[in-house]
Amino acid sequence: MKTQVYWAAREVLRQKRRVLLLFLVSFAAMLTILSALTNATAAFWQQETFAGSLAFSMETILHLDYGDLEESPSLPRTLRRYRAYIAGLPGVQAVGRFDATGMYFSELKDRADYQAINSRVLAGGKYENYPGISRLLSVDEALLPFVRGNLMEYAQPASGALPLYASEVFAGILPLGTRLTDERTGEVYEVAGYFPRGCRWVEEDDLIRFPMVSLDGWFIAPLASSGDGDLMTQLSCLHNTYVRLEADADPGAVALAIQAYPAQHGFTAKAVLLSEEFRDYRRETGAFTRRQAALAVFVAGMAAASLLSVSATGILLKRREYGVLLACGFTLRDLAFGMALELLLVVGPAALAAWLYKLLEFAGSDDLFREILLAAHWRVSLPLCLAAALLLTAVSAAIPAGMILRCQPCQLTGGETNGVD
Amino acid sequence: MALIELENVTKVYRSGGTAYTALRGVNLAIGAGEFAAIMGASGSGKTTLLNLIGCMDVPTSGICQFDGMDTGRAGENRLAQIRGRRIAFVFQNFALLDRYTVRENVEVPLLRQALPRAQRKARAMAALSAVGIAELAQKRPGELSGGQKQRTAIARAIACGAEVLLADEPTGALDSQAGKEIMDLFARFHARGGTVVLITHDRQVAACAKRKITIQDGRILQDEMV
Ligand SMILES: Nc1ncnc2c1ncn2[C@@H]1O[C@H](COP(=O)(O)OP(=O)(O)OP(=O)(O)O)[C@@H](O)[C@H]1O
Ligand SMILES: [Mg+2]
Repeated sequence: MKTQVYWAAREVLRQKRRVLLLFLVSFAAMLTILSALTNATAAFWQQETFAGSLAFSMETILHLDYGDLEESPSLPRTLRRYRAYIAGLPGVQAVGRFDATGMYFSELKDRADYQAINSRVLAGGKYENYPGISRLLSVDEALLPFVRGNLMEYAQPASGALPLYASEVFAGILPLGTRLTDERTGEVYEVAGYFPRGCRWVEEDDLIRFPMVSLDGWFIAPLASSGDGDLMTQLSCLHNTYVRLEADADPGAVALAIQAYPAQHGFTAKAVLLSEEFRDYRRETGAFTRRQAALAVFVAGMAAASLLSVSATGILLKRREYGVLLACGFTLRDLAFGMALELLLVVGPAALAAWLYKLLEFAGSDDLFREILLAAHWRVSLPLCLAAALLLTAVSAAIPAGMILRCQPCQLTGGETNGVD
Repeated sequence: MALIELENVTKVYRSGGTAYTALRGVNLAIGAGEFAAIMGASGSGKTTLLNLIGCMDVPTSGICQFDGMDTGRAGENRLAQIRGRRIAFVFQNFALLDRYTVRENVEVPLLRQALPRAQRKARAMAALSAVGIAELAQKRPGELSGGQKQRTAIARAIACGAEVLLADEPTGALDSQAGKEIMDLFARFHARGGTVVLITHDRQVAACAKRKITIQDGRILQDEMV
């Protein structure tokens, strides 16, 4: 074994041009294979993180899906009544909404210490050039435990102001009790606590398809009741309205009751079980994953074919050398194994290089899915990439090695007669 | 029992639909320490016979034995071990690895024997000195003359400690002076107790041998001690 590795390594070092060619072919193939694999597994990983971070079972959450709404001045009232109606249905635990906005606190926006910390957490994001802004996640108390690891309930400040929870990064400059005013609505908040770094929330535009959002540098507060009459506030959390069901409720019956109300009041809305939305998404990504996997297999096949032809011609060229090795005590199996080893010494490093290249690419990107891609790249693509390298080697070495194994040693020493070949 | 024994050996080559019988019922025994020359017309089966003796091929029928071991039944590992430790080949076309240096070529069987590096090197250099080309150790076969290449092959045989030297027309591509020097090396190998079997068309070369085997159409025509 040691001898074979030694010999294979020497052979590799001796055939620089051929090896470089093989390396480039394998590297390019592995890049494509890895991209396909990582894309496919990232989608899968995304599902896993989403499913794992919800604090409620998806079978007990209905998502409200409003049809086209007429933006009339009475709409806020209609919606408020609708939510009250839903909350009163049997089997319903609570109705809640959330909304994430960029806004300004009059007391904060020009403070230098706030801006200094804020610009650090905003760096690289869409608010990079607005260091005075504050990102506020407004959540109804009922939905607070929606995402694992965040707040469970709100404290009620004695002053009557709305409770405001700040990211730990602001703990040093915003002591408990600090009062802050929403510049647009005039709503007054009071700092009631802090949430630790690393807290996350679902992406509001599409909570299933998009990665979780880090809440570092954010504020969390209940939705202000002043917003109940405000059309803009109402519309912006329209698609983030969820209904929590009792564990023993019949989701189908509740959904029917939820749909009955709008029909009588001149608008349309329906309720979909979160688990169903999730299933649809999985079906979509399943098709995508299969396509990506097919692409990976196809490219691997192409790569194997070209490796095979290069290694087969290499073996024809080295036929006489193999004869010499056999005469010197090597077995046919040694030669076949050595052949595979020589390929592996090229394909393996090429695969690792391709993996590393992708790793650096993902690490350096500002893709929304960066973390998911990285996780998939480490945990799934790395072992698969090594397996693919092994498989590629085995496939492309099998035929030439088989050719060798069927020979008698004398058939490799230079042909039937012993003229100079 | 002789070191090498062939009993009613037949070798049939099949290529495509046709079969060609290269050896027909050959009986032959060569004892340890003999010096035999095989002669015969082109195509008569000399190389085929030498391949069978050297465990590079197996007979179609009959029994071929090396030191009591039936080569037709022995596993690939046993055969390879014999090829690597007990038998050495010197081919007409030199059979060296062109991309490796002279010394590395001599080391190849030692590599398979998993000898430590320093020992490998020492044995290779000693063998190269024995055949008088120690100064060529770092050259590649392409830079050597025909005689020097044959010496390299002989050095390889000495280095691996082989007791049998099989040579297929070792002087065929050499001028008469170089040929004589190579024959001297064979004679020295024989004098130290080694067994030599060589194929040659050259009567003068054959004259160095103690036994002359003539082969015709795959049969042994004549087998005489001289
Ligand atoms: N692998 C093979 N397939 C088919 N026929 C073969 C094969 N090897 C040898 N032969 C045939 O067997 C016969 C004997 O071949 P061999 O090489 O033993 O002859 P030789 O006596 O060594 O000849 P030369 O002096 O030319 O080297 C030849 O007619 C040759 O064509
Ligand atoms: Mg011949």
